[in-house]
Amino acid sequence: MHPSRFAGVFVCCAISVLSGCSRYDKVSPAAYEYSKALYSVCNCHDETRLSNLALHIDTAETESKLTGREADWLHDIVATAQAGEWQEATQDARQLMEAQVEGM
Amino acid sequence: MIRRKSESGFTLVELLVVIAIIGLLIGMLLPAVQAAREAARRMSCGNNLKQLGLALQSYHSARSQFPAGYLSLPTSDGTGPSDARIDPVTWDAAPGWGWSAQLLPYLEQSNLAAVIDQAQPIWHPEHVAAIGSTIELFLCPSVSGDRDPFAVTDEPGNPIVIGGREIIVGRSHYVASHGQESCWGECGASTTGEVFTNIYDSSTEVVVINGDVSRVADGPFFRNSKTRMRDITDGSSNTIFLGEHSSALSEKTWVGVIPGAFTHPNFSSPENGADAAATLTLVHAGPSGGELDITGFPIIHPINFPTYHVGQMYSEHPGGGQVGMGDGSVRFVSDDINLILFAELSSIDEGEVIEEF
Repeated sequence: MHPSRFAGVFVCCAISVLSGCSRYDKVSPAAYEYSKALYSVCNCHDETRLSNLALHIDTAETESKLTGREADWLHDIVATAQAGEWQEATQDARQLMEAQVEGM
Repeated sequence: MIRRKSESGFTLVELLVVIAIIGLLIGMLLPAVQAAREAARRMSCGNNLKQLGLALQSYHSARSQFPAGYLSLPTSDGTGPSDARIDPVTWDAAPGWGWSAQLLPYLEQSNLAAVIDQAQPIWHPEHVAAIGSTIELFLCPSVSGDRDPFAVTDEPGNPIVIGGREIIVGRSHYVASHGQESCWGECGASTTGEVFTNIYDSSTEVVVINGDVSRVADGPFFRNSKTRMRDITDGSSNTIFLGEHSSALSEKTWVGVIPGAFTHPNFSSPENGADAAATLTLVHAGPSGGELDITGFPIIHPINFPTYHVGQMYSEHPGGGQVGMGDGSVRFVSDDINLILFAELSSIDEGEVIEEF
């Protein structure tokens, strides 16, 4: 590999490692409300509320209150929780909420 | 014969490889060093909380009650002498001294306590120098936010000026627990009733307060609280008294409450905003005033809850934060502590059976 190309790859790798990456992006107020409820449900390992919340999210998506991407993120968290991975689902919901914070 | 002079030194590739290896080694070592440093800072912070917890016990031994969350001229109709500066919305009033200012004689701060007349308001001209004091015990070494004194502000964020002077107060990174409910803002004066929310079934009960916060507050510290050890029927080791609140989120003070003041968040979430004067020195666990999420569940915000209210605990220690319990012990609470459990730990006499945490 030419030294200059090697240096370029090195710098790109360093930047990507240092900058980190966020899994979630800004969401609508409605999606934020769902993420907050999801955090609470997953934190409490509440299967009944989880089922109800999944239906709520489906309805909101059907009524176009959520974008496809928002609904996907929320469904993924629901699926993680339904698989019994409550801790991971709680962390995902937290990350989704934290992605909405500005100026931290 | 021509002898070619051999070239010495490193090629660019060699240099980059060496840099990469050094970077890798530093990368491997740095987290361990940082973790060790943070562990030391956390221990120092815990020691601060421990000292505050012991001071609370000493105060109780001397006076048979814990200090008030903050002192305010009692009023049942929002009226009183003009120099009491009664806030028409919250009914907060002079003198305003907070729980931590009342603890000064028990924190080896007798000299500072001696120049404070707690019968006079915080903003009395003779207190200017004293209230701007920085006390190391009230500062957590892990906090990335400010450590210097700050000017108390009103709702729009402008400094409050009394007698031609801004009110500059010493900072604190520690707050006291008001319990589950947050009876400040208009709730502090409510003549129509404040909504008390049951954390188990989300049912609500309207309680008329008329300025007497004790009718709703279920934690150890609130306006004019006089909590005694025997009032803590949930057990002092099962009740959170104190916690952390980093100035990275909002400004807190050891001094107390200035009527009409507001606490402002230093970063924004979709839900946080300015909150009433009591949050200069107190926080709560939630829920408050019938706040429910879209599933009808009460909104409880334990330490580091990602809504980042100025009225909640907030720590910069990785993974959670420290709390001071009613028995003087210090515990580490995870970010992901069970919401209900945290609310249970925040009340003094709701009769919950507390799990290990």
